[in-house]
Amino acid sequence: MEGILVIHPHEHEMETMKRGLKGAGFQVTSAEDGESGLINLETLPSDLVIMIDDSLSGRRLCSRIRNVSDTPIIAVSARGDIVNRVTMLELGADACISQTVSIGELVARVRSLLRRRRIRTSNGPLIDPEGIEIWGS
Amino acid sequence: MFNTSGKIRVLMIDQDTEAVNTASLGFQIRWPECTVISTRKGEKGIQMAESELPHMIVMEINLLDISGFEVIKRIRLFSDVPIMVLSDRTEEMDVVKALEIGADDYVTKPFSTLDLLARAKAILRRINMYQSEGEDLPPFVTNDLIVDFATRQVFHSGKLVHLTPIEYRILCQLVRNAPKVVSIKMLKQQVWGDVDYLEPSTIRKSVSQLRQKIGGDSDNGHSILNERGLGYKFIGARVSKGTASMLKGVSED
Repeated sequence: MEGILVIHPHEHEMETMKRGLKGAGFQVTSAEDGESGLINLETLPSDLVIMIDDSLSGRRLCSRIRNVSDTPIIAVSARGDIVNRVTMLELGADACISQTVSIGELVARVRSLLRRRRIRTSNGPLIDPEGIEIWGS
Repeated sequence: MFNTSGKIRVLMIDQDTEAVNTASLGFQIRWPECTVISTRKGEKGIQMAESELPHMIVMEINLLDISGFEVIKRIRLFSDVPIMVLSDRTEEMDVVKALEIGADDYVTKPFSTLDLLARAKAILRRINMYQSEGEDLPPFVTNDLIVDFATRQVFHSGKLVHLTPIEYRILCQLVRNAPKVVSIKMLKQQVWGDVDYLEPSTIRKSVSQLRQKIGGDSDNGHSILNERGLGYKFIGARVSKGTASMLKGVSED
């Protein structure tokens, strides 16, 4: 069973999301803030992280998670603006979705990221989007 | 093993000329080496996915000949290429269906080019992270260090070493390029996936932790050297195949 860590400052608001994810067959652990979320990640690695905080500390948390882990991150944002979404993606989130998104879509996005993680393709060209020379073997 | 053209090839499958032009321009401004090829038809799109081997597909669901859902299903039969749907179908059930059958992301029209590019970069970054791990390389073996890429296991003096994913990827980059120096920039891109914000001390700390775990000092016959201002390199004599198979009888902790 794949495990998802949900980092959300408001426990009661997490319940719907947690129920939906468990109903879809995932094991869900939760953390109320960034620090406990990071500790959680180090001690019990999760297959995916969902973080619900797009404040300044939320962006910083996203960077910090990305600095220590390659676990896919879905950022859930109360803010609908594109600037916030682009910022979270640039900081290392794999997807940034609105808080109003349905459980159905959230689960679909989780499954999509986990599927990509399972594939771990080793074929094909190594991509360097910046056009910098890649040192391969 | 890897092709290193340093270019991205994007295939767009969409009859909406304006969307194709806008997206293409965006891709080419963001990644000047990017090539964008396109077709208006789904069947042709499937053929091009196979023949052109794009790094990414950006496609509409509402196509002239067949449904975009059908296109995704058929491409997924032979390819893991990242697929981003860019569609004027905005219903949640369309988003869910596309993701469930194999799309990696779903952007609705009208779209922001900035948003599309950020999402494309996130997908490519993720692909790069996984591809740079090189599972089909032969094990890297020195006198007391074994890096088995196929199983992602690392052994030091016969004992399994527990590395974090980041530490493992750093080690992979160093040993695969040994004895060449791997630049900080390259490490950042290959290990952390080119995120925009990386704390300056993060690389140093991670290398230091890695050194401690694999007993990296010259007494062991291998070490990680910091070439000040340039990057890091792995120094250690790779052993021959014969010795490598002798070292295979290792124990787990």
